[in-house]
Amino acid sequence: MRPAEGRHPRHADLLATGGINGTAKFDEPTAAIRPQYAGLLVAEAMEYPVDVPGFTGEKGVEHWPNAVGDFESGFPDGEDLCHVPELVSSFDRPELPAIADDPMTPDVDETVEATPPVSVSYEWTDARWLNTPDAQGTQFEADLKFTQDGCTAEFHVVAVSPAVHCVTDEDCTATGNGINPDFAVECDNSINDPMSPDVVDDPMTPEDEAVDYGLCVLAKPIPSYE
Amino acid sequence: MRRSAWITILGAVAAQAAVVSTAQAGPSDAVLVGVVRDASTGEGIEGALVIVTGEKIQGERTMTTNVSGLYRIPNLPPGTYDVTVFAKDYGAGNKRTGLQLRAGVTIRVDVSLVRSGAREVIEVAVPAPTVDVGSSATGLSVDREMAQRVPIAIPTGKGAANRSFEAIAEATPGARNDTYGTSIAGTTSPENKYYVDGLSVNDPGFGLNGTGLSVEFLEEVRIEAGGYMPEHGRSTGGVINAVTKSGSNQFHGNVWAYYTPGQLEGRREIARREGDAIVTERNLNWIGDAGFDLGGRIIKDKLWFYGGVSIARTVYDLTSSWNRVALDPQGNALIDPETKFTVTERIAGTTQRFKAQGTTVQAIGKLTYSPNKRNTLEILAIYAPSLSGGNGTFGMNAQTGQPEVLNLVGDYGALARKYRDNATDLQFKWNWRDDDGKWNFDTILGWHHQLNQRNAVDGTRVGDTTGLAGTPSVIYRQTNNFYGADGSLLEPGMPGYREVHSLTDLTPLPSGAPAGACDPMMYGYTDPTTMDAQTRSVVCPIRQWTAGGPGLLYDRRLDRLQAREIVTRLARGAGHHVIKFGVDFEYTQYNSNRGYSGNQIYRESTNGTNFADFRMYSFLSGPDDANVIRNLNWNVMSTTIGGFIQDSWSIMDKVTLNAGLRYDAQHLFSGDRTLAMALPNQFSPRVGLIWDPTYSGKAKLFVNYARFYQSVPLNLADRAGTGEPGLQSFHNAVGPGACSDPLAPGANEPGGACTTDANRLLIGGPADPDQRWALASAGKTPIDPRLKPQSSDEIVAGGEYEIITDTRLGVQYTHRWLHRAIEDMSRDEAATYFIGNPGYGIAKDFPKAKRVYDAATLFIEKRFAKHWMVTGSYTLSWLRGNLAGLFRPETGQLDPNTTSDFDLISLLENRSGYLPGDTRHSFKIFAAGEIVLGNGQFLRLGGAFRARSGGPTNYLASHVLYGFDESFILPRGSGQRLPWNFSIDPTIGYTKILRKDLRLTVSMDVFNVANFQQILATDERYTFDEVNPIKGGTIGDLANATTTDGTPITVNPNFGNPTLYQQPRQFRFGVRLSF
Repeated sequence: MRPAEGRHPRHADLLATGGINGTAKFDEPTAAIRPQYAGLLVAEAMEYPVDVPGFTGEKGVEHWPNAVGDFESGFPDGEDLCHVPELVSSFDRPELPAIADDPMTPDVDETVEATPPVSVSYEWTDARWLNTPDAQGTQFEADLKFTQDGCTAEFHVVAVSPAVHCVTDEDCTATGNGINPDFAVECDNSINDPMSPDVVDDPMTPEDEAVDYGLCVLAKPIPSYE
Repeated sequence: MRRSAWITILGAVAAQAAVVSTAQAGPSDAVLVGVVRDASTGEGIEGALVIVTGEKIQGERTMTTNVSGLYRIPNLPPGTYDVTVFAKDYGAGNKRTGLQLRAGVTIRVDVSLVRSGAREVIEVAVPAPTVDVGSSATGLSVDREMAQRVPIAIPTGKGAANRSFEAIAEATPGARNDTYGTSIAGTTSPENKYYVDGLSVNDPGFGLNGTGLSVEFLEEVRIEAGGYMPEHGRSTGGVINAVTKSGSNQFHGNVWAYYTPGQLEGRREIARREGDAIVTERNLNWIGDAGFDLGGRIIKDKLWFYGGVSIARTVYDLTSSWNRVALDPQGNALIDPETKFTVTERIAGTTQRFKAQGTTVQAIGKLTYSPNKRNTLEILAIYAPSLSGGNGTFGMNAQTGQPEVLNLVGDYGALARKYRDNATDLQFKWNWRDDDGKWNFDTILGWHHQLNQRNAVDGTRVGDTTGLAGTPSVIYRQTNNFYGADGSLLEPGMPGYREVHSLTDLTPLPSGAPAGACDPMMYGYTDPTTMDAQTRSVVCPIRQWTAGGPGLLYDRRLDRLQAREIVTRLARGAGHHVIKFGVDFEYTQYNSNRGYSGNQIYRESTNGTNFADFRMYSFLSGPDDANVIRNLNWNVMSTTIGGFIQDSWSIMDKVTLNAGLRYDAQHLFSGDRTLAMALPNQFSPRVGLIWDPTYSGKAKLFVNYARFYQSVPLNLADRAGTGEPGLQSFHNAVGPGACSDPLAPGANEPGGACTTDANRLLIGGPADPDQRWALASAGKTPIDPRLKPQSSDEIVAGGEYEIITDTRLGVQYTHRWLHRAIEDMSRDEAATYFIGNPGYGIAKDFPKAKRVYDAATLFIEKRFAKHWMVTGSYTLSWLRGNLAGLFRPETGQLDPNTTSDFDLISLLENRSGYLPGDTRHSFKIFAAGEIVLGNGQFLRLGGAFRARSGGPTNYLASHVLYGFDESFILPRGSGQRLPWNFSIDPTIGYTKILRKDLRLTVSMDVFNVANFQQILATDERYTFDEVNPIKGGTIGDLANATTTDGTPITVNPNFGNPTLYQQPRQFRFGVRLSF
């Protein structure tokens, strides 16, 4: 158990109120999914150097990307899965206005083009998490209908926690990377995570610096075990 | 002369007496067994009548021998007995007098009778044998004589004030004091099983001793260190059994008082530390106890009573003073060249005096009723309330027996609490035996109850919304920053430049001090690690200050209900058998109501820009939708059902084979009444073989194998099995309307500056649904479904020889190793935790938990007879592994089975090595004697001598998630060993027999008479920086080691310096009137 001193990491865990002696109802849990892409759209607007009309100062904008849905039950089913039938998030991020050049700094051009508004929608269905003592929601599967500006794509989503960046399959099974060593995982180099972009070769040097970063993914449908 | 005729007859009577096996006896009572034989033929005499009389039993106990001449008289309370044997055609009788029976032992007295027509009863004084030829248990018995004559219990630590029985356990070979009691055979004190008269008094929540009964009420304390039989279970440590005094047909009583004045304390070596603006000295003011007891009869031979009351009090002086940085005439701070500490000077008129004090009352009552020969009934009741703290004083920590604070760096209302710790015990025992002694039934029903309250000093309690309980605790801890991101030296006023809080920012200067004594002023300072010349202004720097409310408050109620039935059967077949079997049921309950004053503890960030919700019971019901729990109230419980069967088989009276099996099943239930943890199938085999090569009870060689299972204390079901939901957010402390001080009026109220979402920093990443809140802990910790209970295996072997009457010399070897451990673990760096067996099941990628104890002991024991006694031992031992036990000695963390030892993958490296309890050499000698001065006067002399080689030390660093001292930079035990330490504790006393059965004794114990001030601990914090372990590293690797950021390590200037010295010389004066 954590000693008296120490810092705390974060992850989501939502429960209904009204449990024993003012605590939560552990058997009425709720899930929230926040896609990184949608989160970055909001973060971009929040960190924008000038006010964004329709966004800056609005209440609750930081929660726009959250898709929230109740679990079917407080306990896993016979296959150790916890199900959420549907989670939806949908928002329109307004236009990020153009920024004019600052006349006080003649040697720097601060001009930024306006970014057009974006409309995104995530409809998650049949979301399910594997829930056992050694996989505490760390394997996930769902169907996703993603719509951006009227264009829709359907995905089957498979996920493993924690997110581990990799180059080879060995990176995914390395001891201490946080992934349960019993999980069947492999490196998917086709994923281009904006948090860990690929490195391209520098033509000015004789060495090949190119690194194709990917993410560790489940090698089998859940439950994905060796 | 009649006497000479007796001696002639005696020549033909071979009385053979031997101690056989602790195994057969109940936890506190002794058993007398033996064979009555015909001296000429050697055959057993059937139908001989054996009569046992003694002060401690009502009436007499009788038994007729069976076909092989065997008799067995169980349930004899410790004491001195006479045995008389009558047989037809064998004269008028044969009497053995002065048999001393100790708790838990089985004494064997064989009697050979000569056919004669003599008309006198033959009387022989038989010293009870000292070699226990039927037992392979190791340990120590401390009887009343030893406890009263030798100053074993030192006046410091847990149970010091009332001289509690667990403090005496330290006299056992190989045992040592630890933070929460006595460590036996390399284990930790919460692993011990504590009994009072067979009633289990372990704290159901944490495993510590819950009823620290004074030795004044005890006949004997029996410590079984290892090799014990299946009737003892649920412990991987030792079994410590306190046997209370009983009434008798005569009236006996004592009045006593003991007093240890602080004024006579020897000079204390003070551990120097980096100059803080507040320095607190802790000195004993006084410690003492007084009481009386009385035992006697209500109905002769039928109904006896015993009762007593004692009151004990501990008072410490806490003297704090303000200090400022000392400057030379040029205005530069002085640095001590030796310690590298900044020199500070005391500011006149700033001394503040506080007391830390606690009072414990103990009352005991016992009735023993024997309506007839077959039945004995006993009722025992103990009530022991304790109070400490409040009314301007600080409290005493009931778990350690020390004042609750070290340094008074905070407001009184934030640092001090008011404690109430009560223990109540009630037990009913019934013994039934049949007339011929073949069957014996013991029924025990018991209840142990504890109340532990921690309240605010103004009397407000957990859950209250007013007063100190309604005020949050705030920790201020802004640090210095004199270097820019590029390593350049910053000057005051430059961006990023920062200084620690000045004490006067947080609390007013005491009125007696010169005005402005702590006002900031510019002065020169040279950093001793970098030699950079800097400028500073804070002359009274304070690194941490706690203000507001008292933080965690609680109201805990704990219960332990127990029912036991033990059946003993005497049988014959290829020798003699003592077969014992029983069932043992326990229900424990822990109702824990706790909360933080004002809902939470705020902690300032080291850069001073925000306050974190450092501790707050709370949970999320939607993204960033936090719900605060004012007080968390869980009621958890556990059931343990077990049974055992054992046979002590005496083969031809030369070899004894003890074999048995114990089964236990423990189930722990969460606060929501669901099963949290199931630990069935605890099969503990125990096998021992004892051989008496002398065939006369004077020696033995033995070997024993045993498996021990640990009972899991309820703290696990409460914290991990039910959950301590907690959240954390960070309140902006800079700018207008910010949460700049959580103690400002209204700041902690709904909508206040420190509760409004507007001031919570956005900390979430793009993929975090919660942007303002971080989860600190949630609900239940999942448990490996194939979890196995924690267990140890042990092999003991040894030999003993009775060198002279009453004196035995022995050697023994113990090898004890942890088989499996239960711990919590996280493989994703604290995102999710689970409970399992490290190295097995779902935790198979974690290293196996290891703790291996090897000890060789040479001991001598002469019990008190002919005016003197001595008990001495030398133990050579090794203790290695990666898990100390149920608490972490390095940090004091008491979370049985869920310490931080295996928590994080990044912390696992370098954990194997010499554990904190590793002591290579340990000498202990306890001796007492009396010189007869005549005229009913005695001079009492004695003392204790202890010598111990020093323990291992470590190179520790901070961990990014877990904080200070959690990362072993080098393998465990790589540091320089601590030095040897010695203590000599003599005692002198004078006894005067005032009239028949009335004696007065005055005594003086001197603890650490030479006032040795040897180092007991050093600062093992190599650096405050975050450094990951260097796998298999050596001291040579430290020079190139870097922090997790890749920057060079800043070595803690205090590393390796002493932090704790031996207790100084103390005098304890005693007076006792006994009749």
